[in-house]
Amino acid sequence: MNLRRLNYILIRGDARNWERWAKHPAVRLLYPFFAPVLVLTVEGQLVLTLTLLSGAAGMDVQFSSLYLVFSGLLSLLAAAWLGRLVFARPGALTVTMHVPPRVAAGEPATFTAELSNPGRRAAFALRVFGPFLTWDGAWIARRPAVPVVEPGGRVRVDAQARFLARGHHYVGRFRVASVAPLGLALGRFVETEPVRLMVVPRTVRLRHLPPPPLVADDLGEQVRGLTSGADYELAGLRPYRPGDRIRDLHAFSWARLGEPMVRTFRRAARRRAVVVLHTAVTRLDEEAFEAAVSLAASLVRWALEHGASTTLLVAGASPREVTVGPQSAPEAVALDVLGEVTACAPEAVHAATAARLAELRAANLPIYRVFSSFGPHVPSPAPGHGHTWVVGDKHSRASAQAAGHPTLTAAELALWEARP
Amino acid sequence: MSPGPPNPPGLALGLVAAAVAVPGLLLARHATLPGLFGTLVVLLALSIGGRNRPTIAGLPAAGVHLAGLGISLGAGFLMLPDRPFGPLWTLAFLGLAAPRLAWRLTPRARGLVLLFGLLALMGLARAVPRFAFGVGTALVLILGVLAVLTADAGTPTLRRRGTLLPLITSLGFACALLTGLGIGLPAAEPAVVAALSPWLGNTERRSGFSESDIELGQISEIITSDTVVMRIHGTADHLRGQVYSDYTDGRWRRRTLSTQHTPRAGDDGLLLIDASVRGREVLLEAEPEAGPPLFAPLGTRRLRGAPPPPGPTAMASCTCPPPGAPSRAPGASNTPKTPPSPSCPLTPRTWPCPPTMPNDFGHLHAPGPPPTPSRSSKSTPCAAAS
Repeated sequence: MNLRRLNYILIRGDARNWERWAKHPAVRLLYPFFAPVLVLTVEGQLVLTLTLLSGAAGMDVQFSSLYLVFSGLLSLLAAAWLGRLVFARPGALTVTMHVPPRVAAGEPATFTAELSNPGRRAAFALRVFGPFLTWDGAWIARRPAVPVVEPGGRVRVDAQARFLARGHHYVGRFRVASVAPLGLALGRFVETEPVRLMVVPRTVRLRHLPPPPLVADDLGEQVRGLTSGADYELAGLRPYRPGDRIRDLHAFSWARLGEPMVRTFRRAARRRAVVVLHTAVTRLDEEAFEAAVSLAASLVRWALEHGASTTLLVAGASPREVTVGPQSAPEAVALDVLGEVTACAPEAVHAATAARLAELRAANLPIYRVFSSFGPHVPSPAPGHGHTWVVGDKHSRASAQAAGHPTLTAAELALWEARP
Repeated sequence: MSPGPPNPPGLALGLVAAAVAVPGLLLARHATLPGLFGTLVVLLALSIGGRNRPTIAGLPAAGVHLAGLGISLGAGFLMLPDRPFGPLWTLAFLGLAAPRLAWRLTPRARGLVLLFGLLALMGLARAVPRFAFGVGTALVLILGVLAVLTADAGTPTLRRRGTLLPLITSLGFACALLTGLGIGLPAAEPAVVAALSPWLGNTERRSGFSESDIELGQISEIITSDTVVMRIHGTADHLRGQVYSDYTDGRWRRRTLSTQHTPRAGDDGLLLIDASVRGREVLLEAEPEAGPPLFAPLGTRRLRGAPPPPGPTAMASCTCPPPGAPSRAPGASNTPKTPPSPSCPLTPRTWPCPPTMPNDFGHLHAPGPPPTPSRSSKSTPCAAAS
């Protein structure tokens, strides 16, 4: 059970829900009644609380002077409410957000707000407010504050947040307001465009794994014709033989040696790896499933670090395949795919997945398989290059160990980071 | 981006210390020794550590607060033998707040110390005059706001051009509003209570003394009770607790503010007033059931305090001119010219009387905790009448 999610059981969805509710006619009708409280800063809310308490304690205005404390606190709030209308106007202030396209789960994401003041008056005591985050998000740094933005000036401040759940996140709109002059109430807000973010699985460094093997078909010196788009490299020079292409003649070598020489090419030797993530589970253990996805992402990163062209195959209800590598898509594409992976029932696994796995095995490629569950529904790993891990729940791990497959837990995966 | 010339170092700390010292100074006005003790503790804490104050947090910080609380309460019990609640409350919160000033103040600690200072001030609500309390409240709040603003890195410094005017304007508005509320709330309270009473379920006919407005037919019958409300030593024909001088739409209203001229209690926290009626002194003891209003004989012109007789009690006595004596002209000095009667067995304390006192005594009230009855005096069940 995810206690964090349970804690937010009454808060459904993300910031889009809040924005939709904020436009509801009933909310707009009631807003003026609650606005005096909603515009208060944390300090202002504290003063309001003290005002209410001192007001209750100072009901006797004839025989006690305690009501003067209530009066003083209320006066401060009234001055703050009036001051926000007069002194806390944002003027021509504009705010632009700079957001990283993706961030690993649990890692801090930095949101940079760029405040520009094209107006003729300086803007004082500005606060940048991030949107409300639901169960998986939390702000790390305190609300960034800007003392002043001069006329024509530009200021950048950072806010940091941490997200736990993978996938697309609609973070929401950032808001900037001035707290001048008393710091108790916020002036009119300046809102940014909605901020979106992709949270990808966290990766660990797999230093202890040997590099992916070189694929045999790609080794050896093979003279081939240059094909557009193919990956070939210069292998050497040899004397001309009838039948060689004229375009492969090497003029400088022919001139130096006195006989026609041609260039020979070979296909570049490449490391290849296939990472397969099986998302079918009989009993969902969220922590174990996240660890499985994290291991798959770590394998992709590990293969790329060794220069291998890596194919990621997500075997599930909606199979996804993507190839990343030096001449292919960047790593971020594979991470985005893994960021959206969800578990599925064993019977929901797409039929095309098995056929594709058979093709990959036939190609004699090293296959690294990660199972998020283990049982009768799991196809037995075929012999060959590669490795298999079972990162599932307790029962799956027990079954896998009985079948002789290595198992892994989330805690053990985290320890891999420290392994030499 | 330039927030302006930086604030002087230690300004925020000094403002916090000043805000905490205000209740100490107000307490010194009521009880000199404890007040000076509290103020000195604040200043002492402020002088420790210099600019390189160490940081403290968590349990050690809580220990510092608790140690300060214990020391201040101990000192309070030693210096205030009668242990009045208000001053002790003030001393306790001064003790909670002051020691923390010797360490570096985090934003949370700063807020906590300021809160303690405000709570310390609240303990003096009945112990010091209303005007002084109002000024103290304004000072604590203004100093607190300035302390928070000067310590906040996201706020331009006070020397930055364009920041002082809005700040002064807002604080000035707050002070003006505080003044208006301070005067207006007590004045408006009877009218508000009268207006709200039909909706508050307070429509039953009543009996006995009350300071609120009186509607014709409201007082229907006298409820007899054996509860002692007052003890009178001497002779007094009538006692007056409130004057209703305005009649509109079947309702008598009072025009005087109950707290305009409030005799203050002595160091022991009890109000002791001596008086005489037609040359004879009358000693009044107010029982808790009599409420805070001061009852005085008709024609009273002088109030004098006296130490309590054995046993906890509150007494009030008034001096009235003999029959045929000329009444004072309006605007005449309120300071009594005649010394206290030597026949009075108690040491007197004299308060100035307002010009309207002989005819209007309803605005005199005894502050402080309600006294407890004396077992040694003669009990006279009576209902105070206006």
